[in-house]
Amino acid sequence: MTAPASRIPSEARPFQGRRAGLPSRMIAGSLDGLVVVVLLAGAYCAWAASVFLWSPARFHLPAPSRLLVVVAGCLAATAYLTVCWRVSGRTYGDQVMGLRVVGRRGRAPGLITSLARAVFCTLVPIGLLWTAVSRDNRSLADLLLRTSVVYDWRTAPSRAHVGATGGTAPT
Amino acid sequence: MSTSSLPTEPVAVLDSAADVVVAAGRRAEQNGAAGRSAEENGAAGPGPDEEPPGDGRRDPAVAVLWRVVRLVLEAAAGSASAVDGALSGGRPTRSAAVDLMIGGGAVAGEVIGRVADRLTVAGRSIGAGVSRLPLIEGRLGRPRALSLLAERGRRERAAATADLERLIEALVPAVTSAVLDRLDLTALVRDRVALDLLVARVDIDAVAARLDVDAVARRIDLDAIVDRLDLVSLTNRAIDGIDLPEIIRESTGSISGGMVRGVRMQSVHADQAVNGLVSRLFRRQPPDPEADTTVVGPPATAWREMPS
Repeated sequence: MTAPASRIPSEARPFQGRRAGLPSRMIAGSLDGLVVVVLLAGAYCAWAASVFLWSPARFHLPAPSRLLVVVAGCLAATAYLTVCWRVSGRTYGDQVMGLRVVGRRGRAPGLITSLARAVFCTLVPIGLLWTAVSRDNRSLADLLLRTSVVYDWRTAPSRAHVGATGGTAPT
Repeated sequence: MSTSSLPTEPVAVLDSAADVVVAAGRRAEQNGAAGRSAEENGAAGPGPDEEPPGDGRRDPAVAVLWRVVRLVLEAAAGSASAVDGALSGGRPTRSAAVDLMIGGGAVAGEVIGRVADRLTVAGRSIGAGVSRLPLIEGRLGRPRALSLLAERGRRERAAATADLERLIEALVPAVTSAVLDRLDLTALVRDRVALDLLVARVDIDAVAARLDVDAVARRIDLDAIVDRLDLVSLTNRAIDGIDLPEIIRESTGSISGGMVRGVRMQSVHADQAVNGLVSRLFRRQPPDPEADTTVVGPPATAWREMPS
């Protein structure tokens, strides 16, 4: 999905390293939501298969409560986002859309920052809309945790750089 | 050959006789020439192999004629010797009879030459005396009989030349063909011709430039070649040499990569459109698209200068 710098189209190069806007981040978030749903579906299938193997004669499809589904969904989303941001700074949706989450030093955020950002994004997803209002394309999570979501079509993470309008390194 | 060593073989006897005759003839020629040279405050004597000298008034045609006769006799002698050697299977030997003929011919030629010289001198003297007579001086031209004789001689020479040419035209192909049939030209060329030197001097590039490759290709029976090929094994080897799954992966990846790049660029443009719309709603100054708002990685100018 990503490419070396020499293979990035010339028309996309000026945007590399800049903060992404709301549409790109919403598409990436939607893809991540699909991933979480797939994870939940997989977990449900695994649960059902385990029940069937445990007692085939009395098998019936598990019917989890709505609260359990919501809690499981939140936990799965938090775990998924935390691991992805901490490891590479990008989730599957970010990778498809050529985005990357960076910390204040321009690198992948730390574990605490990733976990806090994941929890906030899971509980307050509407905070993403602040990206459109913000002059610097920052969501509420970015403002609270001093992170940024930038265009980065390359495979390797970018090094920190002080931007013209960012003042300092991604804050 | 010395006369003191007496030969016993018949051929050797004939050789000795021929040598004696030839030597006698040459001695007579030399004596005569010496006498004439002394009379004319003579010049140096000729060598042993030179033509018998004349007396200065002798017609050169006689000497030339004798040269020709001697050449023919020598050629005939050499040919006869070669034929005799080839037929007998031994080494060619020189025939004493031929030497005798040459010696006799030399003596006869000398005698004839001298008689002709005397007659020529006498004829010239008589002709000169007659031409100086008062009534005939200036009126006596070349005799008509001599002119007719010279004309006849020219015609005979022309006819002889034509006959000789026809003879050569008839004989040369037949002789050449017979000779070539008896020669192993391949072995002859292989043993006696420096093929490497010849090939080294050949301009192969020029030959190749003149070669009509298309014409050569048209003469090739491709169907026959293809029929002799095991296309199945060749195809299998080609497929084995090609990483077909990798090609499929790359092609699929390039297609999906193109789609992803399109979606990304569309989203980037959508981001800019949303930012502009929000700026107009909140009455902000619209963002400058040329401003470098890079926060991570190389600045926009470096991206623009990066080679594609």
